[in-house]
Amino acid sequence: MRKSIIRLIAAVAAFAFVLPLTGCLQPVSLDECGFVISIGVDRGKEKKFYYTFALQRPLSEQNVKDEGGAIALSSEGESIFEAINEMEGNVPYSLNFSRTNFLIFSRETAEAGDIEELVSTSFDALKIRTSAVILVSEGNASEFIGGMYANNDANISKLQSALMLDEKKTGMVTVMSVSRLLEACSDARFDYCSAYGVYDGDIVTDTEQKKSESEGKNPLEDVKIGDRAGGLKSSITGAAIFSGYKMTGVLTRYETMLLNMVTGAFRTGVVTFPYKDGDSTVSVLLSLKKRSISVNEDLTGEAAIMLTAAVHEKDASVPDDEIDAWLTGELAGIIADDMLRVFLKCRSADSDAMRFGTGAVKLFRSAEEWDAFSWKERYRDFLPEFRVTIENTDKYLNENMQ
Amino acid sequence: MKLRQGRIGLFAGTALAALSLFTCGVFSIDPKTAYANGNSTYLSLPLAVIISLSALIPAMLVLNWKRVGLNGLFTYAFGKVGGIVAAVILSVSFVWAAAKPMTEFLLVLTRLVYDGVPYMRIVLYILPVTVFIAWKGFESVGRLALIFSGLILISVAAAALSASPEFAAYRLYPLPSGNADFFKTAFSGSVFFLPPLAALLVNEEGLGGVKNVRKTLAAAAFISAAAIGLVQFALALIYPHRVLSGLLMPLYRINFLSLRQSYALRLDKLFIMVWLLGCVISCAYLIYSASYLLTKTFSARDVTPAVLTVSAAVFFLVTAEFSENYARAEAVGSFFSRFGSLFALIPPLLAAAVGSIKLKKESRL
Repeated sequence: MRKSIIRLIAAVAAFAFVLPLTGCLQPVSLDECGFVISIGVDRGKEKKFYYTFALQRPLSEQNVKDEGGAIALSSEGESIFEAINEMEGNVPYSLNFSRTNFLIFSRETAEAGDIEELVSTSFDALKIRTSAVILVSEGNASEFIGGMYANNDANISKLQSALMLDEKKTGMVTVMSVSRLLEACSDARFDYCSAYGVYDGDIVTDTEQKKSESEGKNPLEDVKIGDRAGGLKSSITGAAIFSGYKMTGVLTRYETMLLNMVTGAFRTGVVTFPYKDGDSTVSVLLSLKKRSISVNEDLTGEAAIMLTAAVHEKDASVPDDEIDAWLTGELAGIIADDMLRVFLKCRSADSDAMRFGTGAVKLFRSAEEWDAFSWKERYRDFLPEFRVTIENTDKYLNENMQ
Repeated sequence: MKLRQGRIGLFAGTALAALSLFTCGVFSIDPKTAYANGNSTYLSLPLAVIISLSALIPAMLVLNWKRVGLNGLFTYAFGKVGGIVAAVILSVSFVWAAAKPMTEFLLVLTRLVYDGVPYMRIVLYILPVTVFIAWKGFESVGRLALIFSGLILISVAAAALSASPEFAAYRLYPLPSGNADFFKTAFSGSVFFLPPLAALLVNEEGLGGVKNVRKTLAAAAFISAAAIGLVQFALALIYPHRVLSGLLMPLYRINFLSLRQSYALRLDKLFIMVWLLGCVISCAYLIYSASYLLTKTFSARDVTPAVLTVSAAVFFLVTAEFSENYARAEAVGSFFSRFGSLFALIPPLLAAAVGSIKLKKESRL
């Protein structure tokens, strides 16, 4: 009895001793951290760069409808570390980059190749995950960031997933992480492309409409015919193509869709095409079924794209019995020609955004042979053929309908 | 006698050796040399495991006839002094194989996980636990390995599978061509596989004899070769060789290409803590094995002094990277990357050769 009591006391004492030994290394309370979700980089006025940091509001404040989802901080610095030091002296928390999802560069900084400076030295030091996405903004990155969070939507995660949703539903956006940029620049098998966006201050956002309604005014009073109303002031208009770390060109949303088809990133999207050079139009839902690229030693190659198509809408003047032939014949030809046009645009910008280098590398047996081949230089003489086949899924549906 | 060996079965022994082989194979390779001319690690490292296993067969065969344990075989083959030298050389390889993956983990924790925490603090957080587990003995280490090996395997599989949507075959090219670099990687890779396998020979009594050691060695070697091959293949599908050559612990970042905001993206820190468990167990196993070998060689009765000595050597190696001895640590690292496999290969091979000659002479007499 006595032994068992002693054992019990010893066990409790051991447990009490061990419990404080568990815990964290250098624990930090959540409110001592400001979680940066987006970083914007612009040219500075007095210093090299102007950095904008969009911080997530604390969880307790996110339920308050009138509060926006993000806090924006800005500072100039010769490097991001200088800007952070400047900023942290003026806020009651330290900046934490473990949740940074977006890096937005102004077109000016992207074309100057300044992305390399941030990406190559800062990521590990700031503990930014290389799954973060790069965006290029036509104007200032700080303005673009402001436009992303100006809708007063406290649910930050919705805003962050909007880009991925756009890519999934329309196929007209390209979303790539910093890991891909590092892969592209270190390995030279392809070139990076990022989403390209613009800020439009004239857009009447949902919040502005709500405010007008609550004041008894017409929420669409300031909207002109032809303007977009609702949604974010910052939107994606296409893709920025790169040669190494430098941005060298811009693609429209349609061109981005074609690029995605060739790279295999395209899933599905609706496009409106003119019917036989007339005034009629046909809206077609396209989906990527199969895609392959090949490169030959004589610097020719082929991109074979197989799409499925379903007509969503067509003008009444477009004959039903001709639509199948048009889809599988003329439309396939139009898309192939447009793909070639996009390829030539990328090639003139010295960008292998269509990733033909990933086919070229298969010709070689060793890394030394591949390096000696110098694909980046050879690419300038490369000319592939684009072969597009379209399968009309409506035809099979209609045939099976009674 | 306080040798703290105890006894473990086939499953625990296999789990222990396989875990140590896997930890060494995935977390210890020098990326600059392994990926300098393409990526063949998904073939060359499993081959290195098989080469290491084959290199220990002669010693196993001799031990089958002369049941004296590996330290006894050294004494039998080389004499008292020669036996001590052989044991010390083999122990050095154990220390190196213990320190290398631990250093990799500590670097990742310092640079990528803990914000602003000094390296030494993390070392003092983890190393004492490792030493304690090693001091508890072979049976404790073996049972820990059996308990956690399933969890570690699941976490590695989950990490690789979460990255699978981003797998792309073009990253495998140029394919391994079986040239000199391929075999060089296979032979130099054995510096990390020979110690965990040789440690099983050292702990022969704890496994219940040479027959059980044979089965455990074979099972652990083949299981870990398959696991290492699959993991390296997954990494090859995610990162091309040029990116891998400059990446610290690519398995930790395997799903960073994935953009989907899912739970998988946030599991990397949880996984690294699980893998750290594996590294702690592997390190403890090798520390204990080196300590046991030295204790038996010097005919001591308590393994504790040897554990403390070997632990101090591991501590020195682990902290050398972040001290003023950095340049020397790099030089030692470079030496071991090229010639380290000889430290684990020569003593048992030579002892087997000399031992078998002596056995033949004795049998004639």
